[in-house]
Parts: sequence; C-alpha cells; structure tokens
Amino acid sequence: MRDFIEPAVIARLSGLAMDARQPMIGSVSGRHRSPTRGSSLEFSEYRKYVPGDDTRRLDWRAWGRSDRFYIKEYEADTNLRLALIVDVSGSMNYGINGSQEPGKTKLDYARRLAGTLAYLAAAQGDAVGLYSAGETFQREIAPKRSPAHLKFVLDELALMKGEGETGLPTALHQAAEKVAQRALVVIISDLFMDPEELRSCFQHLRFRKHDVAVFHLLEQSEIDFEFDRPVKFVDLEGAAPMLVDPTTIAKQYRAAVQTYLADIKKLVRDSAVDYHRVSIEEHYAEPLTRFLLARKR
Amino acid sequence: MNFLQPAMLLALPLIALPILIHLINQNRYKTMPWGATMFLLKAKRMARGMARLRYILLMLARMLAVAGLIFAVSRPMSGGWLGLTSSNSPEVTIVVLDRSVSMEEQNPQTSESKRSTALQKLSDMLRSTESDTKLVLFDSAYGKPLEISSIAELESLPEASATATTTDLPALMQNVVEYIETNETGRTDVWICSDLRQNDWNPTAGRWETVRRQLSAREGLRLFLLTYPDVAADNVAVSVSGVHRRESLNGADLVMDILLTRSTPTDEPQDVELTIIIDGARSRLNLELTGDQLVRKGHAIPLDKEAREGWGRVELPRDSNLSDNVYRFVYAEPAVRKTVIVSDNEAAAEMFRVAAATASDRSLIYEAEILSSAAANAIPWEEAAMIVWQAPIPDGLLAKQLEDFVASGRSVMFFPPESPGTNNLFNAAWTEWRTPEKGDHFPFKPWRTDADLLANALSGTPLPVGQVQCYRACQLDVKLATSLWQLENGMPLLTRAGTDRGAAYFCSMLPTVADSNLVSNGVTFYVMTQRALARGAGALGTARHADAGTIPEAITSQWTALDELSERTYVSQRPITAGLYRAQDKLFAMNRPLSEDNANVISDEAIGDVLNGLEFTRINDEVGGAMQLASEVWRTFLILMILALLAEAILCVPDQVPASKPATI
Repeated sequence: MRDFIEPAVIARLSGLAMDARQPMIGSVSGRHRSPTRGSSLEFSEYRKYVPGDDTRRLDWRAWGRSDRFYIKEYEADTNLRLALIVDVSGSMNYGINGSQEPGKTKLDYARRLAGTLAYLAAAQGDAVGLYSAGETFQREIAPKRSPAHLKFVLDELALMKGEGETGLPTALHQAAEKVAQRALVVIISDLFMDPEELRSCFQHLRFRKHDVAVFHLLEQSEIDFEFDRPVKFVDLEGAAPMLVDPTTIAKQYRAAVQTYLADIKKLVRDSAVDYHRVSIEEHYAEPLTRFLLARKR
Repeated sequence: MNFLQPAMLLALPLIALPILIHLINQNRYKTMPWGATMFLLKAKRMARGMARLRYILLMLARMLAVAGLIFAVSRPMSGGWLGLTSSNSPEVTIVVLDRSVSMEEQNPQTSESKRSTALQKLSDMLRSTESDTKLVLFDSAYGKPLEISSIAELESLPEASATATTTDLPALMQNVVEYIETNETGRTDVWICSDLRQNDWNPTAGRWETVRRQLSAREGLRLFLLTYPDVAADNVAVSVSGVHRRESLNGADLVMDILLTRSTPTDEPQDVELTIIIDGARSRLNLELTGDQLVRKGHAIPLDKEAREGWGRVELPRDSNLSDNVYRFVYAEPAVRKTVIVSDNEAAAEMFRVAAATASDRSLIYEAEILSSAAANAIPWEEAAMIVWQAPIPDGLLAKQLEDFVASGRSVMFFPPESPGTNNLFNAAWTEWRTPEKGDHFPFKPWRTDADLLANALSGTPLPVGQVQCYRACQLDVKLATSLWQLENGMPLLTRAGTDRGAAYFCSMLPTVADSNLVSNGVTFYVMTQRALARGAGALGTARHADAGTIPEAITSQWTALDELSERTYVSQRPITAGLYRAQDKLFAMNRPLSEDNANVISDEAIGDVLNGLEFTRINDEVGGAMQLASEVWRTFLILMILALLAEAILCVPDQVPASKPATI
C-alpha cells in the first residue's frame, strides 16, 4: 500500500462498484456489459436464424408459436479497461493557498484519485493503465489485469513529478489512439488550456467509443483571486513572471475564470463527458464517491 | 491669487509623493507561484485600457488631495475677480477715487455710499492680502498723488471723504500716468473706483488717447475698474439759478428758478416737499415732479424790504443721495454785467457787443463798451466782468493788468487781430492766419461737451457747434492750456489758458462773415459769450456763486461761515465742499457742479472704447454690497482635497467577489 492510498477510503468505497456507462469490450468475463451477445443469464433480444448459427440457441418455443426460427440472444458480461490520464504539467504543483508542500498540491490530489481508482478497478478484476501527460506524452502503461501490473501502476504514480507546460491535448489524442478497445478513460487535470483545444480531444475519445470521465482540479484562490497588494506571479509552467497589482485586474480575472468555467461546462455537456469539478481542499474520497455513485447501474 | 503663508508652497513637490509611494509599493511585492497564468494574461489584456485609466485617475486623485492640502495650509486669498489675476503682489497700488457728488449715492439699508463701499472693500482686500505694496491715492478733488503709510488710513483720510465736486477722470488718469512714468513704479495695480457717470468719464475726450497710449506701453501694469453703475431710482436733485432780489410794491421779493432733476425718468408723478431757508427762516413749497425734470421759473419769496443781502438754502427730503438734496445761494444787489470790447475791427466789435449786451437774464443789467486798441488803457478794470480782446496781444502794463483781471476771477476772451503780432500772454501767442487746404471751411474734431463754454445744456442737449463753419482761423501757439475745440489738423480753435482763477479764452476765428458763420448761426457764439460773461460776473458784485473745487484754499480759508452747516466744515475742506461764506463785503455760495445731477452712465461699449488696447478687469459692485474683493479660500481647497480623497476611495474599492461560489468548488 502506498502513502497516497488510504485503506479507510478503500474500505469505504469498496462497496461501490465502478461501472462503465456504456458496454465495454473485455478480454475476460467481468461485471460490465459487453456490446457482443454472450451466455449470461440476462436475456437480450431475438433475431432471425441465419444459416451457420448454432442450432442449440434456437428458441423452440418461438418456432412452435410462429413457425419461424429465432435465435435467443443473451447479454455478455466482460471486464473494463480503466485508462488513467494524469496531467503532470507544472501547474499541477499548485497547492492549497498556493502552497507547494508535499501532500497539498494538485498533483498529490491527482495521485490519490488515480491510485484509489486503480486499486478499486483492479479489485473488481478490471484492467488498469496509466498515462502521464506532461509537456509531452511522457509515460504510458497499457491497461492490464494482473496484481503485479497494479503495483507497477502505483509505482509510476508515486514517481510522477509536475514540470513544464501541459501537453494534455496531445496526450489525449495519443491515448485515444493507443487504447485499443473501449475503455473508461479518466482524465485528472486542472485543464488550464483553451477549452476549444479540449473539444477535439474529447470528440476523438468519444469517436473511439471510450467512456470519458474528467476530474477537474481547482484551488479556491485561483477562482477568487483575492490579493491586496502587488504580487509577482511566477508561472509554474515556466512562462515569464508577471508583476501585477491585483486590484487593477481582479474584476477582469474573475470574469475570465467564469467564462472559462462556463465554456468547460458547455464542452463536457456537448461531448457527453462525465465531468467532476473538484476543489483540492475537499477530501478526495468525496469526489470519488460522487463519481462512483453516478455510475451505479 | 495671493497666499498668506507662501512658504508652505515650498511643499508643492510633495504632490509627487503618491507616485513615489506607488513606485515603492510596486517594489514591495510578494512572490507567488501561480498555475492559472492563462487567466492573468487574459485579465491583463481585458483590463489594459480601463486599468490604465483607473491607475491614472487614482494617481491624479491622490496628487490632487496632497495639492489641496498644501494650498489650504498656504492660506490662499481670492474672491470676486481677483482670483483670476496673477499671484504677484504689486509694488505700487494706485487708488483712483471718484469723489464726485454722485458717488455719495447710498444704500438705504446700510447707509454706505458708493465711495465708502469702494474704499472699505479696497481696504479689506489690501489688508487681507497682507500685501506690502506702496499705496497711493489719487482723488478726483485734488488730483494729486497722496502716498498712504498704512491701509487703515485709507477709509478715514480727509482726502477720501465726500466732496461737492465733479470728476475729470481723463485729467486724473493723466496725472496717474505722469506719476507712474516719473516714479517708474514697476509692477503697479491701478484701481479706478467710479460710478461711470458720463460727465465724469467724458469718453469723447481726446486726453484718453494719451492715457491709453502711455498705459499700454507700461509693463507690469494691471488696471481694475471697481464700478458702481447702478443709479438709485428714488433720487431727486435740487438746484436754483438766477437768484436775485427784486423790489416789489409791498417791499421786496427774492426771485429764483428752481430745478428738480430725477435720476430715473418716469411718468409717475412724485410729490416733492421743498424746504426753502432764507437767512434762517424756513418756508415750504410743494411741487409735483413728473418726467425727469421740473423747472419752477421765477419763484418769488417775500423778503424784508431792508434785507439787501443774505443767504439761503433749498432742501429736499432725505433720499438715496444726500449730497444733491441741498442747494445754497446768496443774494445781494446784482452787479452790472459789463463787457469791454477792445477791437479795431468795427464789424467784429459790433458782433461782440450784441452777443455780450443781449440779456440772457432779464433781471440783470447788461452793458457793453467798445474801445479801440489805442484806447485800451481806458478800460474800467474794476467794473468790467469780461473783456473781449480782438487786438494784438499786449505786453507791458496792459498785459499785467489783463493778468490781474483774470486772477481776480473774471474772464477775458481773446480773438485774433488782422496782424497777430508776436507777444505772448497766458503762455499763448497768435502766429498766422490760415485757410483750409481743401474746401471752403475747416473740418472740426469733437468739442468738449462736459464743461466750459461749449458744454451741453443742463438737459444734456449739445450746442449746435457742429453747424459752425470756419473759413479762416489764426494759428495759436499755446502751452499748458485746455483745448475746448480743435480743427481736425489739431490746430486749436477754442482754448482756455491755464490760470488759477478766472478764465482766459482764446478763440482762433472771428464772428465776421468772411471768417465764419458764427453770427448767422448765432446760438453757439451767443452761448459761449454769455457763459464767459457769467463766469466773469461771478467775481463781481457782493453775492457770488461758485462750483465746489474752483476756488483755491488760500482764498476760502479767509472766509467765515454763514450758516450752521458751513460752520461744521473743516477749513481745509472748504474748497471742495458746499457751503455759505462771507469774505469781507462779499457773500459766497459754493455748490456742486450741476453736471453731477446728470445720471447718465457710460455704456460698456464706451468703456471698451475709452480703454481700448488696455487689459483691464472690471468688477461691478453694488453700493453697500457684501461681495468681497478678496477673501481666504482655504475651505475651497480643503473641500477639493476631501473630494479627491473620496474619489480615491471609490477608485480603490475592490471589485465585489460573487457571493455564491461555483457549486463544486
């Protein structure tokens, strides 16, 4: 167990299954619906018999009633591929009230979210993969089901460091292509980029039939922008520092934030993305609970 | 604007303090790591124009607040129109004070006259500015500079008190210009305190041109007009003329013409109760005044048959101007108005005789005697009221006798002889005859209408001088004289020589047909002759009337007062105040000049013309008004400072943070 995974949270959330919002294509049997018909007990539909169909699946009762051959199909249950995409740009080093102390940054928060989700997914037999998106697409661990792979993912999570500009759009496009089959793609980021750049990413992921969820990490001071004296803002992603008298631009800053949040909201609604805005001041178990409950079938 | 604590203005560089503090504050920033730089960039882009404007306004408000505080503690002086002027204190402040009768018009509530109001306001202004300027008073009665040692004296000076005189403002301003040029006064403020009466300003006077030219050439001179142009609606002035004793069947009567003049013409009838005091005995006369004037001709009051001479006053009830409510007179056996004409030109002499002997007042006796120049030594010097001298200017004894004649208060009218000669008398000498270069008669300049021989009639109607045509005139070489009428080329046509008493007139044309149309167009010639005669006759007989300001103090100091009002007058003030006096066997009545009863005020355009080319500040005040010429205005700057601080506070108010924060964060 890593220090970013709390047993108490695992215990609390283990009762909530992580379900996909759409059928998944898995390699083994699992608890998730499959787009293919299978041999589970859950009836799906009738279809006309065509030569080559297994005659054992003919519904003789239907033939008796209608004198026609129908094949009785059942739902298939399969496992889930969970692809965790974590933003490791410099801005993820911003913490509560600007603090950069270990354990208080957005990256630490993302680490907890991702670690817990990975653990829960592995626990219910799903495959877990991890992609870290920094200035470039830095690290990728393809989803696998083995416990050893979970350890590998958690080790990678523990080693993540925030630096450089964000490369999230590129990372998302790459992830959309690299995750071969339908998967639950969970993006954990502060999304500090033009919402229009994200639109194509989300559309790409949706086109590849992925179930996309986003944890949008924000800190309250970034929203309120309440400062009473000049501040030299040192950009965490390496841009030139800016000396600003906050009183002169606070109004415009807040207006820009509100516009941005409204654009994000519209974007996720248009893209059918499971969106969760998260304040890093709240305990990470809360957004996870909301996430899992919303997915409960 | 002046400052009572100008040293505090040294703190003005502190106005830059807000900028300095801002720059220091900019360097006292805190450093903070920041992730949401995209919003900062966007906000800065959005706020570029607005934030800059807000920043500039904020700095301006702070600087204004500091400036307001500094100016407030510097105790600025301003008020009225003075605030518009520069802050330099003048080295010399010249007060030109109109002390004419019309300046005694009062505010009935405060009993302050125009003159006292002007003096008080000037004193207050000079006192409050704590200026160390040299104060010089030019009053209209004396016309001479009086340097005043302290401002407090200004209001209480006898030289600034009420008089019964009129004002010759052009002459007064000439004296001011002369003083400025002689003393090289440097930065000078000239304050003209006047009620803008037409007769005082005489805007058509050629002397203004000299004043304008000389003043406009002065650097550092500022001209202020403190004016009181309002004319009281209820003021009535009284005067009498033609006072003489007349024998009657029952004894004797005192006959006089009474003139009432209302300052504001109106058709509304006004009952006026006159009090007539003769030798201390009072009688009343009720008159109804309509329009602007009432003339009661030949009003007779019974006299004791034995009363051969005496004095009296005509008094009006109290109104806005007390100084024109009393008119004094004396009476006695009238002197014969005798004119002696010295001429070798028979035609001209006859014309002089007709003009001088034709009675303008039928109660008086007029005589005229013609003598040739060779018989001039036979002139009856003691009996003559006027001498008309149309002969070469004499020298020797005759010249001395003529000078003495004029010095005794009588008149001489000089007309040019055919052979002008070379002698000089009263600083004047005939030179040569001239004829017009173009046309058959000379063109004229405007004549002097405010005083002397060609003055307008009492009704304000001008004499028909413009109709006179002069075909030939004799050049006069004259110094220290007053020009009454000039040709367009500047050649004098009618001139009064400078004399202490009496009058010596030089008329450069003859009344003969070959020389002018003075006779065929006889009003001008007759009036000027009669006026000169009346002036000379004033010095004859035992009852004499004179305008205040025309008899020197050396003479009036010998007089004794006839009535109780005159007794109260200081001896030094007698020449310029009204009064009744006895000098040996003669009686004198001193009154205001009747031109003071004319309430015409010169127009703004006329003022503009009179002071054309000069920069001046006009302050229209009201008699007894509360307006200050200067007062401390630190409150204004304090209010300015408070307003600036309020603006600064408003600009500093941080933008409202939305009460409801985003739901999930």
